[in-house]
Amino acid sequence: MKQITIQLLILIFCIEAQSQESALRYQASINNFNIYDMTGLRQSLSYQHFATKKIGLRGTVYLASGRGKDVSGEFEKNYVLAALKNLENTPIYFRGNRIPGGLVNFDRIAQGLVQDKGFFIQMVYSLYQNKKLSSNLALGYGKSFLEINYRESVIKTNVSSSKIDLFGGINIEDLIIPLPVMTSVRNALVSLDYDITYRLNENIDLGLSCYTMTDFDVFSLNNGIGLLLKLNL
Amino acid sequence: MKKIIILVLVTKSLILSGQSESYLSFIFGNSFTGYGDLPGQTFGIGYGKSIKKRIHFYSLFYQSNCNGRFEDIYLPTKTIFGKTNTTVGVFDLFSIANSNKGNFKYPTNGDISKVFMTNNKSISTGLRLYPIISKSIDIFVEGRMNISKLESTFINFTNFVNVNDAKSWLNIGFQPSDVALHTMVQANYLDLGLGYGIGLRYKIMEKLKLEFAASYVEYRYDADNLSTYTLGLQYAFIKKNKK
Repeated sequence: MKQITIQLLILIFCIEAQSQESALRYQASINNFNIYDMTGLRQSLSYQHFATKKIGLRGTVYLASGRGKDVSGEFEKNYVLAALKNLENTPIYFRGNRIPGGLVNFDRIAQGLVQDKGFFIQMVYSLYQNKKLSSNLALGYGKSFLEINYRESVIKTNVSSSKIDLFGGINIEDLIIPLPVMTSVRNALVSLDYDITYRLNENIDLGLSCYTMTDFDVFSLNNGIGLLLKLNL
Repeated sequence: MKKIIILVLVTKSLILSGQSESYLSFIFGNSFTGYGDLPGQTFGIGYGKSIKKRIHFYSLFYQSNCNGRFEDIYLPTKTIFGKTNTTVGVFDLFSIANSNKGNFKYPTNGDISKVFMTNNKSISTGLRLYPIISKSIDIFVEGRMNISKLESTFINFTNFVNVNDAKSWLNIGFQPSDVALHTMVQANYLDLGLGYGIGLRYKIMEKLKLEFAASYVEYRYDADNLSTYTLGLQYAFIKKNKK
């Protein structure tokens, strides 16, 4: 019975193994990091190979970045107008630090920035395929390298600089202190992708793709939807 | 306006003349900015088209994420009375959290954080010249104009700040005036850059070429100059000239 089952499985595999397609896939997506609700762009490049008609393997590398919501309304503009040529308007606290050029004049202040890079390997299952349309589902495992700088909240305090200035006084001024949260994590993730593509010609397929990546270490989700360009090899 | 129209027409006629090769390229690699202090990654998609055999029009969209710098300030040096002493005093976010709001994680789980981050998204257009072309390897030099959107965040700190109510600040082994007050600053701006580089491509198969390129972008205004060295895949749409 065991042998028959194995033979049957081999037979099914052989029947299925008719088309061996491989393709390069480029995807540009709007990505949401739900850990701090930051949104940005994710680009990924995959190589996909279908061993059988239905089942294939896909390897992907990606790079993503994002930013938090605009919080410029929380700042008094005097505090942030600290461009290189605007030192006289710069609070004394911000002067003389190691940042060359000081702060930059800006209109929008993101609540934080995030950078993410990683790779994953996925098993692809072809849900539907005809001459023009195809759709796939992929499930995989990967690794993510995440960097987050996030401003958790703002406090107002009174700060005095202990540097003695030319006039021998100590400057005291009210200062808004944005408190940072910084994290740098290397986590395992599980990814789930769904895509639908339309064949433009024998070389190019164009489509839409959506995905979710679950990071079990910090219980975060990355979701995205974007354009997919598939180049058949 | 007239000049722009002429420029567009000239560019278009150059691109359309002698259609022999066009390709999409996907690049992935490393980058660094801020005089090498901020390493990072670059990812992008490009389009190239040969104007003449040795001259290609090349356009690229890429993002480059760089981070780093100042991480040494968080490295614990020794322990005093069971508490970690850092190379400089750091202020205690937990005490502020108790008196204000939020659950602070500083730093949270994971490795030591990078305190300067910059996300760069660029559109770049220019020319690639191929002085050496052989059957399998071509060598090129390139010049490109970049329009870049940069978003940076960094932790700004000083060693000479005296905070009122110093008891609420963690300051082991230091006087209150030695407290390093970390604040976070963000910037968001556009910049123009001039990029140039050198590279080679290797023919793997008819449709696919492997490309290695090193390039440098010099920015006009506030942005730190950016260097990238990338590995790319070129997917060619080859059209032969009709005789």
